[in-house]
Amino acid sequence: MSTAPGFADAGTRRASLLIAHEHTLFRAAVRAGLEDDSNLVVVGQAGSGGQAIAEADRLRPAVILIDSELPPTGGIEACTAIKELEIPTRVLIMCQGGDHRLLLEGLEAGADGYVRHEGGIREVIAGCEALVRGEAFVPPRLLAPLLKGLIVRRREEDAVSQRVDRLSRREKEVFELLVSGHDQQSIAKELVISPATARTHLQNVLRKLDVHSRLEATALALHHDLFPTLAPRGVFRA
Amino acid sequence: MTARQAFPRQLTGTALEITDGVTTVVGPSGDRYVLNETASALWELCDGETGSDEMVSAICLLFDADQTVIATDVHRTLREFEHRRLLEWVDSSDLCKETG
Repeated sequence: MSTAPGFADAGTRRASLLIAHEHTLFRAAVRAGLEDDSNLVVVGQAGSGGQAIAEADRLRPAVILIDSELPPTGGIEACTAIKELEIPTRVLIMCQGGDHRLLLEGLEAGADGYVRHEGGIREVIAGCEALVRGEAFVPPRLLAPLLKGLIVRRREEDAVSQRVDRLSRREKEVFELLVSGHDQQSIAKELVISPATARTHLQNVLRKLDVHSRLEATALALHHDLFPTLAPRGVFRA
Repeated sequence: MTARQAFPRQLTGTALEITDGVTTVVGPSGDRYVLNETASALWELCDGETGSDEMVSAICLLFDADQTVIATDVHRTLREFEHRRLLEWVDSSDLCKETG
């Protein structure tokens, strides 16, 4: 019998779930709790990020429940990789407490919802079922801090944009070259200007960006992804 | 609808209570109002520094929702808080006076 995508059993329409957590005992406990009390069926388990990505690609579950501490690199990285597979699987991140920075990272990674360890199996079921319905899920107690985190991040991005907007076209070119790993001499050579002129442009860039060093300016650009087309090879060039 | 430029702020004497998963805001005169999850989050964001448009943008981003619908809901909820004498609106000049 064929089954619909994301459903383990087309007859009962129980949605399929993949559990990704380091500990076997935890996975077994979640599986027991879910299958007793929900319309979810666990179709696979994973103990590492690599397994989670491979199993998600193979099984295409409706939902994958990923622990934020999943080894070796954490659940957020696994979420990013799973979203890059471009499969319809929705991702529910499971985390300890309400660290809004982690939630923001999850949001950026494409996560569709969050549950907390301390929310128990009921919260996991509620989260999975919301995702199956096509909704996002955030536990009520995490909603305000997450929204506040989003607002603060937006303000920071707006402030950085305003600082970057102060740069002239030439200064933006100098800034981009700086971020891509060029020093004063090579910036001058690249733009066919004198080293003294390049130095003046660099000083103006630092002043207008309100940073104190070229390193700080580079960090600002990388943190806010101001030059997304720059290849990492260039950024970290010696 | 034009968004308010001022920032909503919880009135002094209000309090948020959470009992058995039910969130209640208590007004200065002791009146109690049960809030749903979104209204509860909005209430917590009424800190006098967060604009209603910022609330709308964040909710839209989080839930990938329609901006017009969310804006209507957020502004209606804030008006309801105001109507029930739970919040006041402050503008940036008021904040400068208070902190200056």
